[in-house]
Amino acid sequence: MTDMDRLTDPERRLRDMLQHAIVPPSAPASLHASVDALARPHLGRDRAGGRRWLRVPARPIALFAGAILVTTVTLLVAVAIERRATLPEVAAPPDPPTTTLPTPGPATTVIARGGWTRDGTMWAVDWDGIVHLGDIDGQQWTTAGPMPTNAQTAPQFITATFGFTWQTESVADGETVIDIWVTHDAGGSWALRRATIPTLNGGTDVIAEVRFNNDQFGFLSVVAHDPTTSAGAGEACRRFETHDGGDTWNPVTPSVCLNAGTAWDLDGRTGAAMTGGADIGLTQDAGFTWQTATLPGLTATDRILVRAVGRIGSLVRVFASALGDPSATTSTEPGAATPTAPLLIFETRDDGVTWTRAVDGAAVPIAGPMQAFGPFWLRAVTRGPATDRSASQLLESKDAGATWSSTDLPVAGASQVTWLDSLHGSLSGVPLGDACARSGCGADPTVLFTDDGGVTWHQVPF
Amino acid sequence: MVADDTRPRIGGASAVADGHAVERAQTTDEVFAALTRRHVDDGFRLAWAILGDTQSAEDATQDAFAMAWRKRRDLRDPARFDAWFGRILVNTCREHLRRRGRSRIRQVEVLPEPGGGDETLHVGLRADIGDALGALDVDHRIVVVLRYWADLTVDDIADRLAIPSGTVKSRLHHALRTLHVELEDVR
Repeated sequence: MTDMDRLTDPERRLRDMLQHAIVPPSAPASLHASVDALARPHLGRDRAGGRRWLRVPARPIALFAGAILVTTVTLLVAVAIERRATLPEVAAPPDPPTTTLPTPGPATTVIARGGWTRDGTMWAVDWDGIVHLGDIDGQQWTTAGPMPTNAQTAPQFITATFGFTWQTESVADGETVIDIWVTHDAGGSWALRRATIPTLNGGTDVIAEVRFNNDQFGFLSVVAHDPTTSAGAGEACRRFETHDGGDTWNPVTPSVCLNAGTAWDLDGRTGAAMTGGADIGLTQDAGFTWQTATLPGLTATDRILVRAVGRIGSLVRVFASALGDPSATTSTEPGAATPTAPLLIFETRDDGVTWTRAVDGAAVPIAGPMQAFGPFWLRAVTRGPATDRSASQLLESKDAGATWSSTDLPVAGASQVTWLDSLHGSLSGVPLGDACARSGCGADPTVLFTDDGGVTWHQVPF
Repeated sequence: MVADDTRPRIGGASAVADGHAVERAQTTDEVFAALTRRHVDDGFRLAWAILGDTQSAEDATQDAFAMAWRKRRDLRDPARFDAWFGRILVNTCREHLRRRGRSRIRQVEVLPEPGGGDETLHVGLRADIGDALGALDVDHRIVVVLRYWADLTVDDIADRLAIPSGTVKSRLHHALRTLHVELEDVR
């Protein structure tokens, strides 16, 4: 930032007024549809035959084909007119059947996880560990191949071709070994990248997060977990980075350890996480650099989990909630209701150097991560028991958590909704473990997706 | 591949993500389609901030994307899509503002009041700010929105508008003088 860009006090007041007063609504669905429609004529069949849209051919061929087409149509019309004059009237043919996506129902393929890539394509991994990749609309799917491991821990495709998965191999002898597999060919082949890092707390360390922002840069956080409490903020942790696609992992110094995972804005650049006690880390460059500070009004013993982060201009808001009694066990039982907690809101305008606390949002039952679409608009999931569809809902607030509306989700126990943008989201199955998914638990775990902001959901059409 | 642009942007898609869309997609048009899809929300928000109502913002954003498709071959570095499309969008918004005339510029939608106490300004103040922005001419309004709502730097604004930085500063200076008068009662 140059001197020219520093704001005077009156300018800063004006900026604050404008950013609070000008709060655009979401882009209407009709606009998304229009933009998609603009793209369709330009998208053709790719080499693998995955695309179903017609590509405009090269100009000379197009002219020749066009001439043939016009001639043919003219002849057919002339013949039709002549025949119509001599033939009796016949009933008009029925309208062609409308192509619709299947609505949610019992899944033929049980899906573990799925979502959108940054390229706008879809991916899914079923419970047999088979990778399925969808096109930009999720209409056409191909089977890429098996995952490299039986573990279903956090498979994720960052782009249409680059993905990764990981599992903790061992925690012993002062070392934690994490096996990380990466693919650069859309799941066709996988390469093992093993990270060996020193343990923090004997054999009880847990990996809080493994994340790749691209095929070179990634980081992981290890937490010295106290096994007598539920995992979460407030525990010692350490962060490691790779800049060579996972070949080498080095501790970050000074270490901004992310001990409860990171919440990210939709842009993938702005992220926030508690780093211990009341301290928060904020990145605005996709995790390359972090600014740490202490949140006001909290003590070092408070256990806060960052749920979401939203930004507009210089205003960054963090939405968090307290984890509650540290002696309580983590509530992951199939019948457990989602705990209700007040939404704590903090904001910064100086890239995370100083924070102020805004008015708390309403207490809501939130399971898993929340997604912010800017500093005022939030979506979250509340999870019901695995056998009760009606209890799982998509919650939405457009006034920074003050008031909420809810929409029923079509899958019981769902807790994973990821958003590509405000309209396109995916809903992954029942996070209750392999045994429950295989035996049914009365649910039908799969990947559903929406293109209207969660109003309607469609099953992946395998 | 690493991102070297650490400054906050208007929002939405990142250079990192954009770079990957570019890197991984198979054809130029597929890359472009992915980029446009990722910028719908951001584009609409900026258009809304400039134009002040949903219908105009939707029209302008759609026009801008149509223009972007026609000019897509001019985009030599897809990692620059954000700035490149931003220029198209701002120009489209300027045309919309000029077409509909000054009188309608003063109308700014007032959204329902959030229930969060001091979360936002009250409706009356929002209307005052809308009126104050409406008192600016098109070019001054645009630089104010880009500078103080979208938090762009002076150089970035100059790049978006294809004008010298000095002109941006001059427009901001005049716009602030007008806004201070318009908002005197509410400051």
